[in-house]
Amino acid sequence: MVRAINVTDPRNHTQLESFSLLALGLLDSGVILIDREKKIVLWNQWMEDVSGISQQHAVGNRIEELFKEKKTGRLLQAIDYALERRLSSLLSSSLNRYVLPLLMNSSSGLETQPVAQSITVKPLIDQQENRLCLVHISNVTDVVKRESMLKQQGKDLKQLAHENAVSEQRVRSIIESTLDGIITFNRQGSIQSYNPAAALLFSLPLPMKNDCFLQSLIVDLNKYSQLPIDGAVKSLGYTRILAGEKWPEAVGINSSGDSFPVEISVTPMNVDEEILFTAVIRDISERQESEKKLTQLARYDFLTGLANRSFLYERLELSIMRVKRDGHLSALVFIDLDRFKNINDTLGHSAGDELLKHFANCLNDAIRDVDLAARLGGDEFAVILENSGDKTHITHAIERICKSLATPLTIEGSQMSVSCSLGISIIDSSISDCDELVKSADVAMYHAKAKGRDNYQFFTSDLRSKTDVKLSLESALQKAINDETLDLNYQPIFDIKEKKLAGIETLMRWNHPELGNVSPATFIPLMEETGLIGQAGEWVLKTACHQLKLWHDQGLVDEDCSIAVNFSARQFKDFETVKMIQKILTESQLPSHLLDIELTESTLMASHRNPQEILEELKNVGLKLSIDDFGTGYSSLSYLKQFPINNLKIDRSFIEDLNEDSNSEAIVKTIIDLAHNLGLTVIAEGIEDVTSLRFLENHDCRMVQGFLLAKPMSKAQFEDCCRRKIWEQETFFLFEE
Amino acid sequence: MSSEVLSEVQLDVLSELFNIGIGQAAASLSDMIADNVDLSVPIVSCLPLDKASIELAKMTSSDISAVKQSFSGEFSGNALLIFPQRDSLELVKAILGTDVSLEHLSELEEDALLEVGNVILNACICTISDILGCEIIGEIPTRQQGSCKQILSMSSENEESYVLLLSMLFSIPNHDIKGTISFIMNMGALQQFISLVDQYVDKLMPQ
Repeated sequence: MVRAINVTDPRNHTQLESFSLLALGLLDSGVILIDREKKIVLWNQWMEDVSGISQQHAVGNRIEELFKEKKTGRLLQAIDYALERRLSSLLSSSLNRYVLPLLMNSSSGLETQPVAQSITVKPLIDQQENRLCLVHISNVTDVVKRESMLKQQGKDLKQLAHENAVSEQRVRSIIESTLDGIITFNRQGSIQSYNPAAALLFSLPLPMKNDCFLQSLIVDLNKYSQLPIDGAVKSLGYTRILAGEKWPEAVGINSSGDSFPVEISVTPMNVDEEILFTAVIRDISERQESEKKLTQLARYDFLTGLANRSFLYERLELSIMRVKRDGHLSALVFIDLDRFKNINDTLGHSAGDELLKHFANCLNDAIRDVDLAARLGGDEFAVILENSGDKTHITHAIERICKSLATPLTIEGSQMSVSCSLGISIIDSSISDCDELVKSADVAMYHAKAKGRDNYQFFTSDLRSKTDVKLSLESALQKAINDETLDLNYQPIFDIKEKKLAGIETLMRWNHPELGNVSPATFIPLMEETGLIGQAGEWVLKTACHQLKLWHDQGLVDEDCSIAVNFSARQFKDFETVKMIQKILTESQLPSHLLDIELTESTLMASHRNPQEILEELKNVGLKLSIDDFGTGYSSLSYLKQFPINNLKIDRSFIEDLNEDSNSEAIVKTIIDLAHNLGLTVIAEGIEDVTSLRFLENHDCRMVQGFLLAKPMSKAQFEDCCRRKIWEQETFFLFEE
Repeated sequence: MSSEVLSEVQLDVLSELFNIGIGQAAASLSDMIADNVDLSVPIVSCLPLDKASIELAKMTSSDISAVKQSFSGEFSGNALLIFPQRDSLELVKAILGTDVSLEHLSELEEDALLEVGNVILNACICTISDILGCEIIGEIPTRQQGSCKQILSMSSENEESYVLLLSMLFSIPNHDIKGTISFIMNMGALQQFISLVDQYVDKLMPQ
């Protein structure tokens, strides 16, 4: 029990003094009392504990005598101030840490640690009016520790805050720099924020100013109305995008009211207990544009801008379906330019392209919007006439097209127009197959060409069977050329006077595996039409030259025996033909004057090039040139004079008629006289009876050829005849002495 | 700045004297923080409490931070070193070389500010006691925060008190801090102060 005592009562002073000393001893801070002479008069227990200096040692000494460190300077100055000027001083631990070298046990008790001090120095006056100085030392070690810990935490927090700020900055700059519009909105569609890209997309103010709803920026194309405000996310479109579905009809509207297609994806997020949604919006106008371009490329012909084959087929399928459903007729028209290749060959490809473009424009002008014009490649075009009415209507439409296509075009100063052949296939409900339809139109077109071009033909089932044979022959012929299963027959040409073999005409033969021997009258025109004649002709020429050379070498025929090869119009026109002949002559080592090229009059005239030029070229190689079937074509006496021709072959029809028709006799006689006058050799072919032979002999026709003398024969038969000297034994006696 | 009770000459003399006294404080502070500290008192004025608080509010911001040191003896009152709140943080930052980023000073940082104030105010009190030739007992400094008016009236005995305002420039490399030192005295103390200043000036400059 401590009794309260009256401190003002001097009687109690002794007791008070002893209490004070007791309290000083228990104090958790340092108390030092210093007299006027700066000598220590009081040094409490705490000071003893932390300084290791006992009270007995401390009392009577000055501070600077106990602690020699420089750090005490500030304390001594403060003591001086207190004693001399009676001013108090404060020595904070921050500015004067460890003024005195004081140590204490750490809280763990295992080690000692310096005591951080906060010191106050105050002037005092005792009862005897003596000036004293009170130094009070507080232990702020824990405070220092706590504060440095707090500081570290503060630093850490700051670092963290900095890092957060950096990462936020990063995220923000991504959001701000992305080209996609990013809009945050709540359940009601009210927009909370948007990035610069979104501002640009929708022409919104930046920074955001007024309340704005997503519903006014994004609408559904099909409805094209604002989505209901109450619960934007619940409305149809938004529910779909939330479910991750594509929303192809989404359309953005900017502040000027312009709309553009957008792609939108929405992600919900939980921000401070509120559900917000982030919409990433991309303007896909450009993408749609380029998709459109791609479609354009995939569906349209580059040169003419018309539909291409695949798009035609696509539309054809639709037409077939529509016809089946509605019962109205439509039509597919195939159009092929007549002799387009000639234009390409003579005027060049760019002129050809111009013509195709012109043609495409005319075609487009002649059809209705619902119809479709397509270019299938090369000079082939097609038109679908939708819902075209009956055959009469279709015919009108076709004639309109033909008329339009006849519009002339000026290319390189010269006006030109091109005719075309059209094949029409009517689309009725019986048609189910696109391919079938296309084939029909093609067949009809082919037929139009066959009928002399510049006309149109409707497809009929009758046409099909005819054409089918043709088609199968064509492919078989191609196969025969590839497999070299064509054959050559050889027919001797005799010199009546010399009674010898003067030449051999080569004749192409085709033994079809199923049909047997196919007439040259069938397959030669087919070859001409399809262009196969080029390959076949080269093969014939090569085989003939090599064969004759071989026979010469074997001594089967005389050294001056020549070989005749028929040339088609195509071969005659071909620039490469002369080169090809030279090559073959070189390879076979056959003297060029032993090769005889037979050309018909029509072949000569069919060329757009000057026939004389070509003939000169051929002649320069050293060949012999014969006019075949003379008398049937456009026999012009003038060309006989101009052209460098060696032989005239009188057409077989005149020879065959020699017995019955006096006209023929006159003609043959005239031809022979004419030839002789022009210095040409006359060859008569198709001699089947002795009377005819006699007539020719009598009229000085020297060269003869025909069944009577020798039929065309295979290589083996020919060689056999030579070896066995069949002609010497059986033929030559027919010739008059 | 107008002055109502002290003449221009007296104020000039006072300014000179305070500059000398405060120079010692600058030296001590330079030692303490191992950097060059410059202190100066360009203007001295003496105003009644209400005017002084208006004047002070103009010079500083509305929220101020002050180190207050009471003095007593033959002549008593309160000495205040006043900074705008922001400048006091800036000062601590400068003298401690640490980053004081929080709004409030920590216990130890406050201690440091008090010590700086203590050094400056002690120097000023010494100057005054030297002028007056009397002994003034200085107490341990404490810290105060609030508006100018609050702080001044809390430190004065009554409405009639006068304030001796010493504007002060506190400069540390890279920092320029403006502060004001105010001595708040009652009328009696002021009159005594004025007559003693008169005597000092007379001694200094005989007629």
